[in-house]
Amino acid sequence: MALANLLASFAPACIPPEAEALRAEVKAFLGRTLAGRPAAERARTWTAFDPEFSRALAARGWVGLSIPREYGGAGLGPFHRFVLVEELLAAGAPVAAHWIADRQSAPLLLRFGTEEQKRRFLPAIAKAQLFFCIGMSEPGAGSDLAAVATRAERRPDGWRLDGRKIWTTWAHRCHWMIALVRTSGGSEDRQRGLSQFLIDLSAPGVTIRPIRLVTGDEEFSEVTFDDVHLPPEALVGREGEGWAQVTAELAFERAGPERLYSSAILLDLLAAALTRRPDPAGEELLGRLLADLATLRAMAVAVTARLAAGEAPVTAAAVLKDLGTRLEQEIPRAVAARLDPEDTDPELVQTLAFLLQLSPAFTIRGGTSEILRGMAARALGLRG
Amino acid sequence: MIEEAFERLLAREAGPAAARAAEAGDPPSDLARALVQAGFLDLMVPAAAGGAGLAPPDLLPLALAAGRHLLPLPFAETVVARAWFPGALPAGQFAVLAAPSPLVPLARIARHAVVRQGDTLALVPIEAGGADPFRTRAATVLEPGAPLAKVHGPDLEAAAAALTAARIAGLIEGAFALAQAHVTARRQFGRLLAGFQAIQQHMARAAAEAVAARAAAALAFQGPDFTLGPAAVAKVRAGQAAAAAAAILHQVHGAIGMTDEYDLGLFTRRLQESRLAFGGEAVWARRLAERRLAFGGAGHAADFVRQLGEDAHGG
Repeated sequence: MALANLLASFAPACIPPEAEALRAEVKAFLGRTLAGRPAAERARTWTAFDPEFSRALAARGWVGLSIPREYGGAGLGPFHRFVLVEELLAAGAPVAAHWIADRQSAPLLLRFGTEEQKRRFLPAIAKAQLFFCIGMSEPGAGSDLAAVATRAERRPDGWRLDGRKIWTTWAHRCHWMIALVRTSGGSEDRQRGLSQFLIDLSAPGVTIRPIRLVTGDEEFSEVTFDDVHLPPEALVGREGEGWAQVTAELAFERAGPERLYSSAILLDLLAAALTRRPDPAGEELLGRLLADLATLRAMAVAVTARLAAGEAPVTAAAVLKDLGTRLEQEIPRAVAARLDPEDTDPELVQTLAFLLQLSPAFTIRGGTSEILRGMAARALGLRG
Repeated sequence: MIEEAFERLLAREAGPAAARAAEAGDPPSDLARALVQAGFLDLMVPAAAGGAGLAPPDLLPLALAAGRHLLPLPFAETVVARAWFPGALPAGQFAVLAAPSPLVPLARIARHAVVRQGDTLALVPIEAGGADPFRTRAATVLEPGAPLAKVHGPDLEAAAAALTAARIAGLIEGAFALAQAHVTARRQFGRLLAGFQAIQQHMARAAAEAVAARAAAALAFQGPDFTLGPAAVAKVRAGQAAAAAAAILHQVHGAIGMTDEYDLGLFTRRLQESRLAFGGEAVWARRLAERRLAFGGAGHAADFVRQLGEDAHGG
């Protein structure tokens, strides 16, 4: 039974003591660095771009934690990264600048990059000198990623890139993009003929336009490539293997604690409100949301154990993200429903307002819930 | 090893037919005898008292299997009762955990119960009566006899909630298997139900609830003892999963799932019964919130849930 396989990939696991040992040091650093930061700012956490903060983390060896030492990283495993990321997100640290490079680009380059690419990029990622973004979605290719039409044509001196990427997080402040583009065939070829490239965002022909969100923030951009020259060494992995490489990359994105804590700060503000004014309905809500959070955290630790065992738990990560983002979305909705007119903490209102505006994104970014459930249904043997 | 042997025994002897026979009033004597003879009831009895000395993490897979196979005996409850009162429960006898509850599942099949008497727990013979609202051999009234033994220390409410959460997780898995078989066999509009995106999305959600229910139950089984914080997490989250999964799995079955003849009801009646047993999710959610408020404002939500896990590990 396929459900049994899915259940097995969530076999209970514990964070080993050597990884847990990192926590106190991270907590102390964040306590100092983020003291006095308002809750509404903390709620921005992995959408908040702060190069100075990222460099301070890097100075402690906490960017590129899982990059091997020979490439300038700390050479630690997924459980160390779990502890670090959990503390960063729970504290609402502004991690966006180095986030993608650390979480996705570095593991991708480690796995599929050439030795030269690893030597060139990984040490700079670990020092928080180079920030990366990911070029996946396009105006005509959102959830249907196989429909990408941005095209790299082979030239004697490399490649020529034309097309457009959209919803690219922080491209206007990043140095490099790793993009999924078409190198052969047309959109009717679907997953075939796609490749990944490293693109220098300062290259001639690259135009980046920020997109203002409903929250008023500008963390997205549209990136246009107009006859952009790419050298031969810009190709990541093998030509035509882009789809398989991207699929592996998404398991890094969806696993771990990153899909649990986006709204968790509201739980602390709710607890504080209940301490000021006890209310049984509020306590019921707080307990229910915490029970969900505790369960999801145990599931995230379990998936991290699969990563630590060298597996790519793609389906488990999809299920975790589906459930995790539902909780992240439910928290602001439910806290809004019980807002007490006699006790309106301005910080609570500010944070709640931000999360109510941002939260529709939770079940869209990194793969919509519908796509994730489709993946689960396939793993359960319900679709071909 | 124990797990496989238990699974084999239940696959052979338990399941829908045995559950129906028990519901009709036939005591599941053969099943009971098989469990006793294989030594499964003494798994958590301390080694010094002649048992296997295993801990809650070892019991979890068996408690899940008991739910999945509709075992009509309070198996996990009896394992825990025998561990708490070594040698006190007569050989071959089963017991339920009678924490405060609107109904106690399988109480009409057990002859004994663990009850709270002041600040101690007592093992007592019982006469089970009152209603059996889900036709599952539950009781709403227990008349206790004179205590056979007393013990101080174990958390009866936490254990009852934890075992119920594991039962729920197992029941969801069993119900899911029925639904999987149904949607991959039944055709409508000229194709298999499994070919419809709407059905695929339902099934993926139900599978996610099965995963969450098991993960929540596992938290309550991680330590050497059952404690209130992780047990509250388990009862709340598994209860939510029970409600969601029962609704989804009925929906994908259509009218067929509503008939008494079809097996889905055997699972969903017990899912609903388990939600009610020992109190609904809101009660347990408030218990968890009390602990969060007592935890204080210095730590954040992640610290609180991590500490629950550490408690569960006995750390």
